[in-house]
Amino acid sequence: MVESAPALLSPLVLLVLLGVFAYGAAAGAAVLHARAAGTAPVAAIAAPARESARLLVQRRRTVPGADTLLWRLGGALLPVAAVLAAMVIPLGPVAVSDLSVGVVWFNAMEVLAWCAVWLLGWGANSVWGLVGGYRFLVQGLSYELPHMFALITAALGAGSLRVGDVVAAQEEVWFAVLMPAAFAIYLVSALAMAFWGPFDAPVGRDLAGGAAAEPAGADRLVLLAGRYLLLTVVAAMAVPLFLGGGAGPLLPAWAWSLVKTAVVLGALVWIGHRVPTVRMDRFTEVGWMVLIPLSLLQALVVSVLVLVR
Amino acid sequence: MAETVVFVVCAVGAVASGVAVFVLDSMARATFALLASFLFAAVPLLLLGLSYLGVLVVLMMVMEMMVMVVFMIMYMMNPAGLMPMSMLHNKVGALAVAIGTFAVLAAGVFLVPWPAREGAVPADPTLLLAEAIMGPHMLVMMLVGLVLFATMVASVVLSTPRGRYDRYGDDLRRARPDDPIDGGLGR
Amino acid sequence: MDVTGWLLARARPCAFVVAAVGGTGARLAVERQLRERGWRQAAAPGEADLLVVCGSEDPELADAVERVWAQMPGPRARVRVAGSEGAAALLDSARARLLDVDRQRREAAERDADARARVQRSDGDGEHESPHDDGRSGEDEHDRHGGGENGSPHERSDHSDGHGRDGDDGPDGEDSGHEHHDQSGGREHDHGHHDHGGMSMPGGIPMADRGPDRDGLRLDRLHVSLGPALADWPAGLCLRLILQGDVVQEAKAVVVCGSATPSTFWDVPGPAADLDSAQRLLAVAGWPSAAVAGRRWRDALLTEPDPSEPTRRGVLRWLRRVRRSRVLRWSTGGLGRITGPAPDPLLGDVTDRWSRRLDRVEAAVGTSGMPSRAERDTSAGRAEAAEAAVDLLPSLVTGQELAAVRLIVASLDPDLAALRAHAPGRTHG
Repeated sequence: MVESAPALLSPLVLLVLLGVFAYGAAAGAAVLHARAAGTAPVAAIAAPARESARLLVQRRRTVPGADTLLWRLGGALLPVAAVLAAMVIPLGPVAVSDLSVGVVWFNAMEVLAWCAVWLLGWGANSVWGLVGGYRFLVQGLSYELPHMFALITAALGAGSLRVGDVVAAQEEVWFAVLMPAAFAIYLVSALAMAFWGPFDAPVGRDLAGGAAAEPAGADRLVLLAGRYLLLTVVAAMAVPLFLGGGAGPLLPAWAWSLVKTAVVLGALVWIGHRVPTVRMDRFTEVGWMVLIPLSLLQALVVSVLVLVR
Repeated sequence: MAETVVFVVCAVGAVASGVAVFVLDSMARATFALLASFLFAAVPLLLLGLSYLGVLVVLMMVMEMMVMVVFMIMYMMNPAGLMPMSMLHNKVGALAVAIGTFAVLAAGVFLVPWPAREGAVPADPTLLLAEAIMGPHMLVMMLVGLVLFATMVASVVLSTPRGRYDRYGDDLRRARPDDPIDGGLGR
Repeated sequence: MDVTGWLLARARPCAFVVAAVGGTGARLAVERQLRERGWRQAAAPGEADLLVVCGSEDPELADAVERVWAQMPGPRARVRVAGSEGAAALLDSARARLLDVDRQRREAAERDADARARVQRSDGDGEHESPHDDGRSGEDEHDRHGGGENGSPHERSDHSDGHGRDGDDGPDGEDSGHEHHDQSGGREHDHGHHDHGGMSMPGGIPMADRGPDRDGLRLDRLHVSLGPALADWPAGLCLRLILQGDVVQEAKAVVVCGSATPSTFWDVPGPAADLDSAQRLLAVAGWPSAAVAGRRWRDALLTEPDPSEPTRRGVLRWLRRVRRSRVLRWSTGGLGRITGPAPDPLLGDVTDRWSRRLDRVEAAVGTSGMPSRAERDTSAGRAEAAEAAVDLLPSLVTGQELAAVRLIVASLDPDLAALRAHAPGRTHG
C-alpha cells in the first residue's frame, strides 16, 4: 500500500534521485555514441558533466525580435513540469504525494511539456524554433490520445486513479502482462512525450536543433536537463503503472522501484540509439489509425476482464 | 484563512489575466494569458475538494490552448509574433457585454440565497459528482458525447477541400491515394 | 585560476563546421579530429563555441561565415583549416584561445559595447547580439502611417501597415476596411496584402507577406535560406526557400563558390565518397550513432586504401544495421522521386539513392579490392550528377516539408567541387 510519507521521501530526495537517473540516461547515451564513434566509452561517462561545464560558462543569447518572456518561460517550464509530474511516483511503498487522482495529475503535468517546447520554439523568433515547436504539437496530437488511453487502461484495471491503488492491484499479475498493448503504447508515447530518440523531430538536427536551436548557456543547460528529467519521469512512471511498483523478491521495495526504473530507462536510451527519427507526417497516421484503435481495444478487453472478475 | 487567501489570489489572477488577453498585443501572449486565466479558475475547484475536476481542467485547458496555437499559425506566422496587434474588434460593444455579464454574475453571487450545507463532506466528492451527473442521465450524456464527436469529425471533413474522389480517382480504383504529402500507412 | 577558467578547462568544445567548396579534404580532417577527441559538432551556431571554416578563402561564403560568427554566444574562437594537413594543430590553437579567459572577457565586453552602441542608433540590424533586447522594442517604433498602437488615444479602425494581423482576415483573405499601400514589386496579391516597406519591425525583421496555400488558406510566407553554412549540408549549396509553416512553396538553388577549385577531392578511388554521403543522410535522418559510425569507417577507408580485416568487418556490420532499419526506409521511402532523363545515380526516391550508395560501398569493401570499373565514379560523372541535382532540386522540394527537403538534399548530395572543376562558368539563377 502506497502512502504519502514526506518523512521518508522528501522532495529533496526525489530531486536527487531524478538528477542521478537523468545524468545516468545522458551518460548512457553518450557511452553508446562513443562506442559507435570508435572512441573510449569510459571517458564518455563524463561527457554530460563536461557539456554542463561548457554551458555554465557560455553566455546566454538574446535574439532580436524574440519574445524573451515566453522564451525563457518555456525553457524553465520543462524541468518544473518533470519534477511536478514525479511527485506522484511512488518509490517502493512511499510517494511524495499520493494524490487521489495521481494518474490524472501526472498526465496534466507532462502535458505542460507541450507549452514548454512550443514557447521555446516560438519565443526565439527563429524559423527553426518555430517549425520545431509546431512539430512538437503535431507529435503531441499524434501520441497524446493513445497515451491517455494507456494511462486510463491501467487505472481501469485497478478501479482507481490513485497510483498507490494501481500498484496494489498488481499483486497477482503485473499490468505489463495483463495489458501488453497498453504497456507498449505507453513506452512509445513516453519517448514521444520526452521528445527523445526516435521522436526527437522537434529538436532534430535537420532543423539545426529545432526548438533548441537558439538557446545558449544556462538556458540550454536547463532545457537539456529538463528533457532528460522528463525522460526519467516517464520511465519511472512505467514502474507503478505496469511493472508492479516495488514488488519483487529479496530486495526492499524501494530498491526494486529503482532497479525497474533503471531497466526501463536503459531500454528507452537503447531504443534512441538504435532507431532513427520518425518523421511526423508518417507517424501521425499511425497514431490515429493504429495506436488509438489499439488502445481502445485494449481498454475494452480490460473492462471486460474487470467486469468478469 | 489560507483557503481564503488562495481563493482571493486566484480570483484576482483569473480576472487580471482575462483582462490581459485583451490588452496584450501579441497573439501568443494573449493565448497564454487566457491559459493562465483558466488555470487560476481551476484552483477553486481544487479548494472545493473536487481534485479530479480541478486537475482535469488543468490538463484539458493546456491541451486546448496548444491546439488553439495551431490555428494561430493560419493567421500569423511571424516567429515570436511580436507584431503589435489589437485583439479588439467591437470595442465598445464587447466592453459593454463583458462588464454587463460580470456585473450580473457578481450580483448573483451576492443576491442568490445559497443553501446551507446539510450533512458532512462526502468522502469521495468526485464519485458523488459523477453519479449526480451520469447516474440518471447516462444515456443523455453518452448521446451528447457521440454528437459532439460526430460534429468535430463532420466539421473537419467539410472543411477540407479534398475528398476520397480526389485521392482515389473518380472511380475510387486507384491503388495508392494521390496525396500532397504521403501518410505513414500508404493507405 | 577562477571558477570560469576551471569550468572552461573541463569543458569539451562544440564546433560548428562550415565547409567551402573545395574544402572537402579539410572537412574530413577536421571531422576526424573532432570525432577522436569527443568534441561535439554543433547543429546550430547558437550552441557552438568553435567556428571551423574548412577550405580556402571564399569571398562569397565570407558573409555567411561572419553571420554565423556573430551568432555564437561566446566564449568563442574561430579557425580556418585550409587543407587536410595540420588540422590537429589548428584546433589545438583554437582551443587555447578559447581557454584564454582574459581575452574572452575582453572580447565579450567589446561585443556588448558594440551592441549597446547599435541599440542607441536605435535600429536593430538583425545581429543576434543586442544585449537587452527585451523583444518589445517594436512598440516604440515610429509608425509611418501614424496608426497608433494599443493605448493610443484614438480608435484604431483602420490597420496601419504591418499590423494587419488582427485575426479578422478570413482564410479567404477578405479584408474589411484595410488600407492598401501596395508598393511591392513583383509580388502578386489579389487582395488583403499589407505592405510593410520601410516599416521598422521588431528586431528590424521584415514582416511576412501572405500567399495562397495548398488547402485554400492564405498563410504568411517566410523567406528562408538553407545553406551555405548549415550542419550536414553539401558545401557551397544554397537553397532559397519561401515557406508557409514548414512547407516549401517556392525554391531556388544557388551555388556559392567564389574561388575556383582546380580539382575535386573525391578523384581518389574508393568507397569513402559514398560513405561520406551516407553518413550525412543518416545525420539528417536523426540517427546520430549510425552517422558517427559511418564517419568512423569513412576515415578508416581513407587511411587504408586496402582495408584491413577489422575495418572490413566493421563496415559490413554497419551496412547491415543501416539496411535493416525499417524506420529509416519508412521515413525516406517515396521522397524526391526522380524518373525522367537524369544521370543514373539520381534515379529513384531517397531510399533508392542511399541504398545504391551502400551497395557501392559493399561492392568495394566486400570484395577486398578496388571497385570494378563499372562502379567507379569518375569526377566528370560526379560533376554531371551534381549539375543535374542542382537543376532538379527546386522542383523536387517544392510542396515538401522541411524534414523531407533535408533528406532529399542529403540523398542527392551534389559534389559542387566537381561541378566547379568541370563547368567553372556554370552559375545558377
